[in-house]
Amino acid sequence: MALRIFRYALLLISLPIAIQAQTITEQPKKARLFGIAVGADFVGATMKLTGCDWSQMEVFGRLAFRDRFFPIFEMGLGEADHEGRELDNHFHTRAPYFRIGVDYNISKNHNGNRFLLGLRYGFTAFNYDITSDTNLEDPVWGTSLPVNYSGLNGSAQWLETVIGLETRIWTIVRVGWDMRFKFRISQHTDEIGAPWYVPGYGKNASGSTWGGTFKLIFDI
Amino acid sequence: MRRKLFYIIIVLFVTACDNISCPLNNTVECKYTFCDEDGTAISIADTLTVTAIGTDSVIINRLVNGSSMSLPVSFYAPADTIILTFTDTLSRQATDTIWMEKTSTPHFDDPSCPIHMWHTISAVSSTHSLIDSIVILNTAINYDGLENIQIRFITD
Repeated sequence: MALRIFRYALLLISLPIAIQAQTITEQPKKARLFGIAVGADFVGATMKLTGCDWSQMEVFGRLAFRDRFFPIFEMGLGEADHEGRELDNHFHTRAPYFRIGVDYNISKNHNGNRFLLGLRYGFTAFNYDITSDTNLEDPVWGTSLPVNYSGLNGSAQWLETVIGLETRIWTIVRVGWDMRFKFRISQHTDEIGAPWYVPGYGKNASGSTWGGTFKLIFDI
Repeated sequence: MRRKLFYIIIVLFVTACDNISCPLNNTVECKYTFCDEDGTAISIADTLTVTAIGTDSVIINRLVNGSSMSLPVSFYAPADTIILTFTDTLSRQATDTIWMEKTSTPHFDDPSCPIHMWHTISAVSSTHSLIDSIVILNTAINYDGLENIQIRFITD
């Protein structure tokens, strides 16, 4: 089953490359001076539908200048509902996040295919809960109290470097994917501890992490 | 180019495994060091037994020639009362009591890791049977394991 999912994932990811290969022989066209596009990411939605511990539903709006520069604004809703292995500690958060940045198309041919390098600045402010079904017991003094810390305040800022491909599949419809290396600039968390997941950034185990999107894009 | 991208994707899939990074050094204890009146480190020749108010446990049993001790801290009490009983070779006993006021905060690393309690010392005092003075060196009691309190004994 896992192998089948892996094969399908590879097939999906390689779709823009395959389409690009098919259309690469088209005659180069003159780049449009200005354009607007909107779109949505399907990785987060797929993660949510398949019951992953965390997911982020994301949409974006993008400008295009001469098919070269693409200022972009992304916003999404990140959520996590995670229980520890072997322990019943529970982490929960659900909050919006925002990213702003720009992509640069390094492809010389303006034939609908784009090879994009980009940069993003992301930020979020959120509340998170840390709870447990088991009381926290003092092993020496023998006292115990429930673990129920809700509404803890957190915020984070991070940068993302982006590398991606996209191609036109039908008039105004494009598909694309990108991979992102994210590194945290700052985070403010409650003194109890850092959140397990930061909306928009991902799992918060370290100061850097990987991410990615698979996008459906509409040129308007 | 496509071959390179394919290899990059394979590497990303392989390295995307989940991992848990619970801290290995997760002991939270208050570390006391023993000194003379001038702050020079010493060892206690007498046998030292440590108990605490509020628990039947003997926290340290018959420590001999100790130069430091690490004691657990209560999770929920605003202050701990520690009783030090010294017994010399002639079975004569002397007792000192240490009061440590502190605040305690749970510390969360990951849902898959146990929650530990961290503490911040706000004040410390003692009786003066054998103890000359007591000094806070580091108020934070956490995974760092730093010296928290220095006990200066009467050595005359």
